[in-house]
Amino acid sequence: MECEKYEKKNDIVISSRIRLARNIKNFPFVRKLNEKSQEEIIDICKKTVLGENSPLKNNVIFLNMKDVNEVDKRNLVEKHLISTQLMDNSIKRGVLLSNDEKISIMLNEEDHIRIQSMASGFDLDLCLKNANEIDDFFEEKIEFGFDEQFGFLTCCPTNVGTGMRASVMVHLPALNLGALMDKLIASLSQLGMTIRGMYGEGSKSVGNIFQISNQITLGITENEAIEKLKQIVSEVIEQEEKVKNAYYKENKYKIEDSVMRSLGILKYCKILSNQEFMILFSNIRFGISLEIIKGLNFEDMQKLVYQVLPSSITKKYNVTNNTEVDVKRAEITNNIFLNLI
Amino acid sequence: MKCQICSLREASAHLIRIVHGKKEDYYLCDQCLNFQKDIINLNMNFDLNVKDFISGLFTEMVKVGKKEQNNLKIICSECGTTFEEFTKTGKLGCSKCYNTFKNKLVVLLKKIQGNIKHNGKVPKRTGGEIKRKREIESLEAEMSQEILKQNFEKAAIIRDKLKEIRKEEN
Ligand SMILES: [Zn+2]
Ligand SMILES: [Zn+2]
Repeated sequence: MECEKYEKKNDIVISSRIRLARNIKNFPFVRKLNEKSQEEIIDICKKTVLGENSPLKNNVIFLNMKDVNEVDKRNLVEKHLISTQLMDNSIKRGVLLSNDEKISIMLNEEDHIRIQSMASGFDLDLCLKNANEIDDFFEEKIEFGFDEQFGFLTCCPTNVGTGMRASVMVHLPALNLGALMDKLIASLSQLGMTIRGMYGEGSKSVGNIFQISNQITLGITENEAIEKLKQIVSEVIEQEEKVKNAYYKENKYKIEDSVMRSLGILKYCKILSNQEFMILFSNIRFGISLEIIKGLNFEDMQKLVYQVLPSSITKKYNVTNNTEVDVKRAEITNNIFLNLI
Repeated sequence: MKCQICSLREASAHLIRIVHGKKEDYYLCDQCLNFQKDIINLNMNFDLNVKDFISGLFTEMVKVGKKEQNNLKIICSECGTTFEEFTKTGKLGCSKCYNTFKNKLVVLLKKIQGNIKHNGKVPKRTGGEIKRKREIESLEAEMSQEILKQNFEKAAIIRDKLKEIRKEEN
């Protein structure tokens, strides 16, 4: 299959993610939980995941959201480890996070339990395998709300059934340059998929990064949903490659100029906003995939994206003023890119 | 002017959707607008089928509004969620809500999911029984296919298989 050709190819697919939504039987959903039950849910899950015979107990930590400060919360959101909903303290909430930040189990988000499994590159199978293992372990200890007809019962009927959302984050500079995104968006939605900006619902695309995910959770198996998404993403990759190569052939100097200018700015700028960084980042990424820039890999680039997030800078360097943050960001990128040949 | 969805409350919002480059106008009350927004945001960003979806939902809801306004007052005995609350928020309150609002949900799910029967993972606890049922269902379908094709021998083999599975059940 064509999918395999593209699997693990990460110049276009940045990361993959699976999310499973579950609710514990005999408790109402989170929005109808009283305070005592909110705590109970957190306790049950904590005990399960951190308990004696849990396979996760040694590499997962629990964070009670009420004890997490605003900067750290924002950082978790910007790293896609928790949703913005989890930041809202009107309900008792928590998250179980793995040390490598590949697993995040949100407690009392919209559903009692949301298991998230992440991988870099295009690897939905690995994500599903890891999420399933956690789901199975939970199920040994807890009975989930499940109905023969409707499957796993969730607060929102758009998740009912498998409770699974699979998504991949993709970088599509050529398709976006060629103003082909509208076409792509329209055809994807006909296939039961959505495509959104980097930060999910309603968010705009930053740096030509998009999220493609499945919508259907009822009537198909988890594997079918994933296979369908894989196939569609592979087609998107093929389109992007085609347009990219054609575009480069026709506009060689224009593209090389914009890539090298971006590199120049990253090396010598003194103030750099996150938004500008994302645009330059996109150009550099484009340059790496066209082999205009060598000696940089995509994974390092992704680490850098997280490193220069506003919340990451505030957290690490204890600067809060916007200009100070932007100056720090420029310093960080100067250091990294000046060391390149 | 009354809201085009519920025909209960005064329309206070004007929803414009561009579908296939054509502009469409809807006049809705605040509550129905929120519900539409939720549904659209959650499922159907940029969906070409949004038009069919919304208009389908409309006819359904208008029926509710005119004929059985009391439907909005149906209440889940477990968590106290009313159908009106559900149309407003798009969220349910507990597992039992799926039973309480089953008829309405089936219509909605058919529209947003295209299917109303779970076919994915089954928890191990309750799993054995459901897996057997699924097997029976698919064998039955297979059998009627064979009968249609007049492959009676094959159909008989499947029939025997079914018998055996049913025996195990008892
Ligand atoms: Zn209305
Ligand atoms: Zn209920």
